[in-house]
Amino acid sequence: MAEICLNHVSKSFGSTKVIEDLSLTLRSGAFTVLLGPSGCGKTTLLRMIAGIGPATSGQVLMDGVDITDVPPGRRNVAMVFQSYAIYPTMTVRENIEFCLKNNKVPKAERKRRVEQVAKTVGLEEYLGRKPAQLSGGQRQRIALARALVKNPAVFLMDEPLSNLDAKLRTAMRSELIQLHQELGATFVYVTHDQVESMAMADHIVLMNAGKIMQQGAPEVIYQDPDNIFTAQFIGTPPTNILPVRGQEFRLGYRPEKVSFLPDGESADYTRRGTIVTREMLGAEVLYKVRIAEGDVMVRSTCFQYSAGDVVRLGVDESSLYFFDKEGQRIREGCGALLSHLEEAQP
Amino acid sequence: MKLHAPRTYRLRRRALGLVSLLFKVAMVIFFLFPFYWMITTAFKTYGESIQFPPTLWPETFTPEAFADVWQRIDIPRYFKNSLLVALGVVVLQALFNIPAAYGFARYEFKGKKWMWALVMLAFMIPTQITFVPVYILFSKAKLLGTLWPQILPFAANAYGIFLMRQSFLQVPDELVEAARMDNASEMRILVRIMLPMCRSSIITAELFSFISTWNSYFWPLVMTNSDKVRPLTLAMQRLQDAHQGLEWPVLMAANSLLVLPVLLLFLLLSRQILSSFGYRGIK
Repeated sequence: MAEICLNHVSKSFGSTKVIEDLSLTLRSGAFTVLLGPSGCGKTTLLRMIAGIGPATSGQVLMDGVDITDVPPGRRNVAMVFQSYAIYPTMTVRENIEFCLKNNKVPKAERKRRVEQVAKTVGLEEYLGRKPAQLSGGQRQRIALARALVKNPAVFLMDEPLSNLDAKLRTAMRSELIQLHQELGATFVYVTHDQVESMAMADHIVLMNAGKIMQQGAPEVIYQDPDNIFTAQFIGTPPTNILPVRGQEFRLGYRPEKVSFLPDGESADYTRRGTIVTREMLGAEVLYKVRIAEGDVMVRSTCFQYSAGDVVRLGVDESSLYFFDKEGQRIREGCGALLSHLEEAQP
Repeated sequence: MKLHAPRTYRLRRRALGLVSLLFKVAMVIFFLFPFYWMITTAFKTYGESIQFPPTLWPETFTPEAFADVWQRIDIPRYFKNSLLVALGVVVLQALFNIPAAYGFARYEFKGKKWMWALVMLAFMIPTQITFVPVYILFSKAKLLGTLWPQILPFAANAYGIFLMRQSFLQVPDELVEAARMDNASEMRILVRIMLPMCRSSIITAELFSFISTWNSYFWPLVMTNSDKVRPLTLAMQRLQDAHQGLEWPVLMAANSLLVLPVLLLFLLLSRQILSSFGYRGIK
């Protein structure tokens, strides 16, 4: 367990600034997910912590100790790479053992630790094999075992599940959560998959273009977005964002917060619309509905509508978000804004 | 366009397969026939070797020519010279080419660009124009009576550096980073990860060097002036100076002996050579 603190770090590649003056604290023992679209700088942050892509300026602290100039092998951190980075000419055992050998761990202890870790990840039977003889999921486990055997204070993971098929990915996801609970180590996990981040994180750091857009517990990120980017990045499909006629602010609400209103009833926000498309998801159905301000997505358990039907949509005041013209959330005076909505109704 | 019926389609594919097979067989014959001719001629009598029409298989099978070669030239001495020179080149190239190639492939340093340009330039200089200056150099260093003039000029070569650099470049960066996170020193990364992954390219480059050194004729011809240091190729040439015309069986026996080690090496390492032309990474 260790707390990681990034202190005003910047990173540029040549003249391209990827990260500019970013500060972030990763809580000791927490499962922190760095989330964002590709190119947002999340992997760059991870590499700074690992020490394999040093910051151009700023400091990296671990439990208050400056490790900015400590070489990667001496940081007490382990990393699982997206490509797994398994040494192809070594056997599974040699792969897992490599860092122990480099650290001059005695042979007997090496053997014990390798076997224990192999058991944890389910590779005992494959220790003598070459990685090329193993499946994608098993290779992923080698990468994991290689990190585990170091018994590090911090685990860094760079999209470790992205090369697995959907079924295996879900299974590994819960294994990783369980592993985190057992080890209690600090996990820093990079992904662009918001579902994965919601499922695994204690704490999500959502990034875009080298900046932190919002951070917090998954519930907070989902229920209380600070800006349009967060509202739209989290959730499937993304939050509906609509202009309001004659006003500078914009309105947002999640597809799953919309209900179909029976005739005569009305909600805090009510719109009449026509169903454009219908996508069956199994437990739910996804409609695209055309209303006066534009098209909105609705996720619902009312299966009875089909394309062309005229419906009335309603959303509670508590589920409406207001954003200013810069895309930042308006948190004060929303009641007054709500009245604008009603006035603007065609 | 008219679609072919499945039957004709299949027939056409078979015909194509047959043509390609015939072509491959023809190529094999084309390349193997000289070797066949060399070896069979070596076992013929002198009379049979010049008779017309020639025989495809020796009528009288005799190892006489080999005995003749053995008598007329001091094979062990020349063989030893050739082997020492070729091994010397291979060992020195491993010592110089591998670190150079690794440096060019994995590190950034001042002057890297123009140093690489120099290597590429060395690639383009024809050996012939270096004969005289190199000869003078060794003469001044008083090394002409030794094997060094045949070894030292080839202690590093641009082709080997180029080939190995390409193969070091193919190793993904993440592997090196993973090794650094595993607290491996740069030397250990080179020895435990890079070299094993680039094994076939290294072996191929070294094999090419061995063969070209073993086969070299003109360079030792210029650089040696005593039998003490001459290689096998030069000794074999001397068999041609016979007064009564060319003794084909003797020449072919000598040539068979000359190419034998190279052929054996090639057969032994052919799999490495093949795989060095395809990258074997895993994801």
